[in-house]
Amino acid sequence: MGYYIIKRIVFVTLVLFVLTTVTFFLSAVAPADPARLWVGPHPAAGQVEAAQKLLGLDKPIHIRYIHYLGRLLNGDFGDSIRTRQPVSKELKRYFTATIELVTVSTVISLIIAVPIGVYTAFRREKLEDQLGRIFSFCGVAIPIFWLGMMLQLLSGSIIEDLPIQGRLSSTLFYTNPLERVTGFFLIDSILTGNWVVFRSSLAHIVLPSVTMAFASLAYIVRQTRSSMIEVMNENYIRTARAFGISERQIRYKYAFKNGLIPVVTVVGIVYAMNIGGSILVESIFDWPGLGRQIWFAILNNDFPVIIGITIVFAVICCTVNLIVDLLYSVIDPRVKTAGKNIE
Amino acid sequence: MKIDTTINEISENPKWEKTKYYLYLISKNRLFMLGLIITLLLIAVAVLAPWIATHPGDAFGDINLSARLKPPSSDYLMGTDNFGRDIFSRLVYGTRLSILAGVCIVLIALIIGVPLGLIAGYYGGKVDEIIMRICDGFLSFPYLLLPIVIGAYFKGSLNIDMMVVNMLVLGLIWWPWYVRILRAQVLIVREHLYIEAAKAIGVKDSTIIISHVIANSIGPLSVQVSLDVGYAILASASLSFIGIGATPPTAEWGYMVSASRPYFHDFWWTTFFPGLAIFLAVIAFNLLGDGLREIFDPKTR
Repeated sequence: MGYYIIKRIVFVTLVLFVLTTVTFFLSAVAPADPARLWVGPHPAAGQVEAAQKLLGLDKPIHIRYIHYLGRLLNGDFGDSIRTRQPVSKELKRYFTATIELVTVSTVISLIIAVPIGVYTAFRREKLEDQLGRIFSFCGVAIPIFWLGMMLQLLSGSIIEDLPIQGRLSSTLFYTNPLERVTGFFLIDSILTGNWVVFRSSLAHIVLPSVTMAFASLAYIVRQTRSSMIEVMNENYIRTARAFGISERQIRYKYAFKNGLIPVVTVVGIVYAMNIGGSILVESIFDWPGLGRQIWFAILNNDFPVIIGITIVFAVICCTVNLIVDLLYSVIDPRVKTAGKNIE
Repeated sequence: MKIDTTINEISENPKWEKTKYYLYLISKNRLFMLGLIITLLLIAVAVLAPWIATHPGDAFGDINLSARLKPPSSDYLMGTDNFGRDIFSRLVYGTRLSILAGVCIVLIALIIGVPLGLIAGYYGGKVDEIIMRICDGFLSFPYLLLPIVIGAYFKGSLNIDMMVVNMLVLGLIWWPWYVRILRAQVLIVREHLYIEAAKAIGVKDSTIIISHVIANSIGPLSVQVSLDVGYAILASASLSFIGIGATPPTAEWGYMVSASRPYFHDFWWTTFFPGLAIFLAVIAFNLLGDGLREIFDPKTR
């Protein structure tokens, strides 16, 4: 097990190394000149040269590459071109908002999709199963950025007024300031007993998290359904039937436990999907997280921020997947060395 | 007499029997037929765009400020956008770009992924290990993140069309899936006795791969390709929405949704129809792929 973890960490480090190297050399050949971006659209004479010196762009490329790697190892991603703030500071500031949103939406999609998957597996080929299938088709085909905007429209007119932007009503920052404990608004407000903020942040997270959850619903339904169907075809279920155990007991006592084991791996994949989806969802709902920041950075050619957030996203996904793999080996004793049986 | 002999010939032709059987399965699969019809309609719209569009010029940068943000009417079937351009006509022309993007992305992925998958599966060992670890590396990134990062570096360049960048970066992250499919297929086929026999009589590796392995992979491959064309259309539109893709005044679905953002709260049609077009296209290719899966894979039937 220890060997497996070390192997995984080495692999992730290697992937990140290749990624940072590729992005570094891409930035060297990219049409956008960082020095020109740094000084703005109308530089005075000598300003571009000064910026080149400041950013170290006057040095040869291999020296720059070594400096760049050294800085990355120290957790220094450089300064944002747009805000002139250290990128690491921005990462810290927006990190928790994204984690909060992604976690809540992963939980929502599991709560909705797993029961649907189990139910349609039991009602295979019946009307409910066909409805579930149509639902799945819609789930994978709907563009979530469009879904988000449509929900915003509905929120104004048909369904009850839910906030469509931000993480908290802006007035609450003055009337009920939230004490920062963990950085997760939902948890902090409970810990400090700040119920006004709790209500507001709960209301704010509904639309973005539901939008994000929608993207992975179909995937979870399909995986759960096929896993349950596979288990229901196992010999031990047939044996249980032969013993005259009620269908209800067979389903929810014997099939359920084994059928849901593979769903654990789904969580890791869905989390990664949602991290990627945060770029679209956060930009639509103006959610102050890393996804929105990377979108701003793309619009403004702010390369240090883009690289920084990419690295953080990759690390989050790899960590979650590692945890999921370890959990899997704990839950399913058949998997002795976790990951070997997981493709 | 003559009729009798033709019937005999047909029934003795196993290939025709097989084709007939598949045609029968296809005609019985209602969801597949629905997907096929929508897909053919979309292709027809793409080809016949100049004749279907009511205001063809609006897809190429005509501006008509007097007709700004008009609701859907008989003149403007889906209303107009903030430049007074007919949304219906722009959507019709956008079909071309979206289908082209979907097909190109999958094509790039196939060109890279299929040979690598064959090599990995057929030769095994170190080569296999290296190729599969590279795939894992690509797949360990969250959805769309890699194309966004790479695409962002080409933004602001005047000599490259961003839509080309959009397709290239998506194709370049899509291939690992095909490596996996092909490799799995090779591993299955390799165990067959006839491959051993072919090897024993000295058939060349390349001939075995092409005539046996690829022929056996057509089923699963066609399922994945038709599903992926849909997903690629969605991914391409998503990338355009973020700003890595079509630039004004190009009529592209994802960009149209993104351009409508300042107006959609008061003028719903500016967002609704472009998004619906994406939805429809993706669902069509999905139905097609799912139908093919049922036809080729007896287990799911």
